[in-house]
Amino acid sequence: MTRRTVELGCRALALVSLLAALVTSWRAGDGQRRAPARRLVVRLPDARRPAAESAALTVLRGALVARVTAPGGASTIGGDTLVMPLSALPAAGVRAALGSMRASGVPIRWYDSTAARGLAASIARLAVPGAPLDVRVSVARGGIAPTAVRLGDAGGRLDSLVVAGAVTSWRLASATAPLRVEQGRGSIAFTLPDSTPARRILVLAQPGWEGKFVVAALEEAGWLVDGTMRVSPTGAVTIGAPQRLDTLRYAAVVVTDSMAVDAAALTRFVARGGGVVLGGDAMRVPALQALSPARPSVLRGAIAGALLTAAPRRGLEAWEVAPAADAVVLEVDRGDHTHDEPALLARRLGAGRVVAMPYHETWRWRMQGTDDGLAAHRAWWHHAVSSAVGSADAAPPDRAAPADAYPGDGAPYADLVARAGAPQPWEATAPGGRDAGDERLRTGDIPLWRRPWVLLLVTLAALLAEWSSRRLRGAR
Amino acid sequence: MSRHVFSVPAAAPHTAPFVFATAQYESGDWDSAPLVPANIIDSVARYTSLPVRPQGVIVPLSSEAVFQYPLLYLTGHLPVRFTTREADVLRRYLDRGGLLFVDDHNHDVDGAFNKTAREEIRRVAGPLLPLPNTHELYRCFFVFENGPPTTSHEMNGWGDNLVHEQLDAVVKDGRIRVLFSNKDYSSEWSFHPDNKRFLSVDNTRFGVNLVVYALTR
Repeated sequence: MTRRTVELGCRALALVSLLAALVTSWRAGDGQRRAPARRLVVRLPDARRPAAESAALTVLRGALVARVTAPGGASTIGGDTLVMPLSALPAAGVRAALGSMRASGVPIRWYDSTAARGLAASIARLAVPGAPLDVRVSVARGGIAPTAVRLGDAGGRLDSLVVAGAVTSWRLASATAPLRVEQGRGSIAFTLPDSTPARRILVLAQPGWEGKFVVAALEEAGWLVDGTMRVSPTGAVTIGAPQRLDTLRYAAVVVTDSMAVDAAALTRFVARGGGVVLGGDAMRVPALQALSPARPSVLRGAIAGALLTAAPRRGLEAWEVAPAADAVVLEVDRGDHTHDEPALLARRLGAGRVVAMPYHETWRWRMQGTDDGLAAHRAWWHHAVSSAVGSADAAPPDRAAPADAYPGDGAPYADLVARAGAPQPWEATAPGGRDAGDERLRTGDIPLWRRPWVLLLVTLAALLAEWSSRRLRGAR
Repeated sequence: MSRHVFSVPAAAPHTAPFVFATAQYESGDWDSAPLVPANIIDSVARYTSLPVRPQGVIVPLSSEAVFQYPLLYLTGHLPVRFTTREADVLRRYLDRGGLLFVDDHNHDVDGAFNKTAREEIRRVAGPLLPLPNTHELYRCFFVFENGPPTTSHEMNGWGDNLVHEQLDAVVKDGRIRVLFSNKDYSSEWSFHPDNKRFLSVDNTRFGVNLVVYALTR
């Protein structure tokens, strides 16, 4: 073989490598556009081992870093899929992390080889007026076609439906134990959580727009309201079924502008754990001043037009108040140039709480404010009453929305499904299998995105060899 | 915007008095019963301990001033057609919890007022339905065992020559939003309050129930 033949071979190799680099580069770019990115197989440590939670979190953190540092990873948050075969249910912190990753757009697949049952359910009684039951069921189908989940109690079948998502829920006004959830041959039976009777609110008010609309707001918020409004020396209007004041029947007493208040009874009620809300003029009732978390001094005029602004409470007449030493200011009204003004104050007395607000005629907020005033007035009074009563009665309806919550440790499998999604069918796309369009990676493989650079190096080396040979033999 | 600060005697109750408000609308004759407000105010003061302002007010239905008066009285003989503005204000007024009392001054179910006012109420607030005679409206102060009290105009063959057994209402969340009467209380109650002394039974007592209901429910 002559030297000239070697030089021709080098040139041919350089050309072929250059062409190959171009083709590979085009394929890599096209593949990146067409196919979903790779799958990163994440093997979490067995949750049954000690310190597994922190180790698993470290692994997840590493997987996230790997995704971001991969080419294009930082710009394709939905790109690489994290694939996890799970042999045991992860701890709460890991489940929460998976839920956060999934919520932020990281694709997660997990394969269920846990011994957990495919049917998970939880039951709770919501802390809202009426105390309905919240039943949540999670079904892991594992590639099997969806089948109906049946809900029933001692009285028979209550409902039956095909669970399409990871979790479904029912809200039941009542049920008779045992409650039973069934799917195929699997079933779960529950006893019912204790039902505490819904406690009521007693409103002490004079007949007038303030009393009327406070009652309306509380009833619209879901509270059961009792009250008596005296309209003449011998006549009174009763609302609900007012009874003797005790903490078993009443969660709180709302006093707006009534002067006919049995202060001793209210004091006993608070001491035993009841809540009292003093609205506006009630703070000035001499017999109640020992209870009040604030002392009113002078009536502050309403700011004209403020009811139609973003700070509508400043459009209400209000008492200037001096908080008691042990009072806590829960809400303030922001002043323009002066100090902030307390809008809601609370103090503890015995086992109960007393809440006060300085406003004189809050009904104007609802009637004369913006179109949002109705809901805002309702929410305000609900907030005030909730601040005065115990936590069991205080949860407003919107804080207990089932769609926003997770089953938690009471049903860890359901919790995992709710957070990380339903498990993938093992047979079809297990980590050992291969998805169409996936780039399968073997140990020692040169990644597709690096191959054009290697081929360019080969091209340069071949051209350098040819040029050196030519120079050594004296040719140009 | 400025704020006024003023002091009030230590224990003085600060309850705003009830103000009787008559709705003024652009079509028809809204002022056909000018003595009704004074008569109802007199009765409220006479029978109850409610603080009440001695004079009523007239409020344009197109004005947002109606939101200051959660009970509105509306009457007339002639066809009623709310303007767009009036309908909008009234709809918001009722949504927020106001109560509108409408009385057909013709006492005639075939009359122009009854037909058009019902259409307008339906358009703004929904359909009027019969109010049961056991409703608390009939018991909240004076007790009317048989529902709404009859009027002399019903008994003497005026208008449609019918005794209307029930009132109609739009009820929302258990509360009356619109109360509609064909009994012609506007004629029945439109006399000078001093003349009550000639009546064996005060015929404005149902008006007291209406005010008490509005102030408490």
